[in-house]
Amino acid sequence: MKSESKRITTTILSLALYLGLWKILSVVIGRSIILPPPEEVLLQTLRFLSGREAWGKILSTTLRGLGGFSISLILGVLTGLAAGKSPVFRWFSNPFLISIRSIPVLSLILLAVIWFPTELVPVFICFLIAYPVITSAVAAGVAAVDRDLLEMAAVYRKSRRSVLLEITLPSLYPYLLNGVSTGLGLTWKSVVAAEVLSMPASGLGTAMQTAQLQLDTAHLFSWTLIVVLLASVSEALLRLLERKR
Amino acid sequence: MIRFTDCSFDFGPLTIMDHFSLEIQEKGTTVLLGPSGCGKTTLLNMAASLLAPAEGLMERSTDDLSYLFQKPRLLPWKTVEENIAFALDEKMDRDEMRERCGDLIRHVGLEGFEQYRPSRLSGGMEQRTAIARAFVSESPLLLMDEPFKGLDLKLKMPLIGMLNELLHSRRTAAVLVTHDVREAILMGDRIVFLDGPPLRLMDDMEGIPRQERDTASRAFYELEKKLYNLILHS
Repeated sequence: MKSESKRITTTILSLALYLGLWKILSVVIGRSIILPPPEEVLLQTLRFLSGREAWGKILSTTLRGLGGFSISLILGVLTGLAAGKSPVFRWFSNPFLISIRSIPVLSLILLAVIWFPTELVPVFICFLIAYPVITSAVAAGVAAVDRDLLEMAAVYRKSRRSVLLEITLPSLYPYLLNGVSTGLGLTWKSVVAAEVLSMPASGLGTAMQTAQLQLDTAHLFSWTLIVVLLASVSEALLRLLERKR
Repeated sequence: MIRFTDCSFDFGPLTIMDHFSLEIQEKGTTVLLGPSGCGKTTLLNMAASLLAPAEGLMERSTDDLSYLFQKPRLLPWKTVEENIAFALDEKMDRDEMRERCGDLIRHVGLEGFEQYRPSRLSGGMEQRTAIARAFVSESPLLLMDEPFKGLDLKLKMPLIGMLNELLHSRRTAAVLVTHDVREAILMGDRIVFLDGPPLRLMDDMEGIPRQERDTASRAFYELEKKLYNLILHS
């Protein structure tokens, strides 16, 4: 308990120090356009969050992120299961996965802007970024399924369906949760990046790009803070799911 | 009935079985007694169709069998009751499933632990869950691969008694693989003494009658002495 309270105190102190440094720097620079003071950013964020417009942007971005992520989740689980079972499938899909991982996100976004309507670009990018993470996690989980349990199921002549539902899926659950956590974190980063470049009608990335064009640095900071909050909320929800287990 | 005819099996460069033959009747408990690494587990896995002989033939009169492994092999995400029900046909009526599981839970003394997950059970309780699972489907044949390994005497003796009682009352034929002479005497209606690799049949004898299987009885002492002599001079 003692170390727990020590941890919390240290965390608060560290945050206070950063905020203090930020405040001092902003006073020294003296120009809000370069570095707005922290209280201005906080107030602006609260102002955004109490208005309807910001929530529309948050909703659009969230839906795009979740849309792309859902596709990668479904496809990732299916192909991950296949890759875990068949080495041939794994060798076949590896070059594709490695390419996506090593190509800069910005190149993918720029290409997507050429290929797709603006609204679809962030969805496609989220899918492309989260998919390799999910499929690799699932494949690793399948490969790690306890052979002894599979042998036991074979002795009791369990059906393939039962082995999948009662052994394979439960044992890859922790792997999947890990993949979802990493994938979702990447999703929020890449959906915003894609929106900045593709500029759909409504979205946090679009708002950031507009703020930057208008040299409204406080707004840029606020939108960023909102994206960080969005990612934290999704991570917290996942933790809840993990604890329920 | 399980019949091995001229079975051969290699494990890498090691010849485990070289034209080995043995017949096991489907009644009572047959113990396959032999030193560690002689190939007796391979024989048992072949009997369970988990392995196929490279040459020769394994025949078995039933497809319906249970297997008690060295480790309990329970599903960590299922409760005691669900783990036991795992051995049952998925299409079985729910009420019958419940009844059968409840009956065995009582037999192995796990009342009150039905909803526990394996992580909260002791080693002995886990193996009792595995025993319940092995009997719930009422298979006519039970194969056991050193199921008491790693359990101390105080846990092991009640388990042996429990197994003998269940095997007898349910008329289940069983094959027990072990290297432990006392386990062999306590459970065996027939004791097949093996050595290897490659697997060789050294001796084949009747066990002592059920009611005389007491570590203090004369018959027990004499058979124990005979088996020790066989092992030490093989």
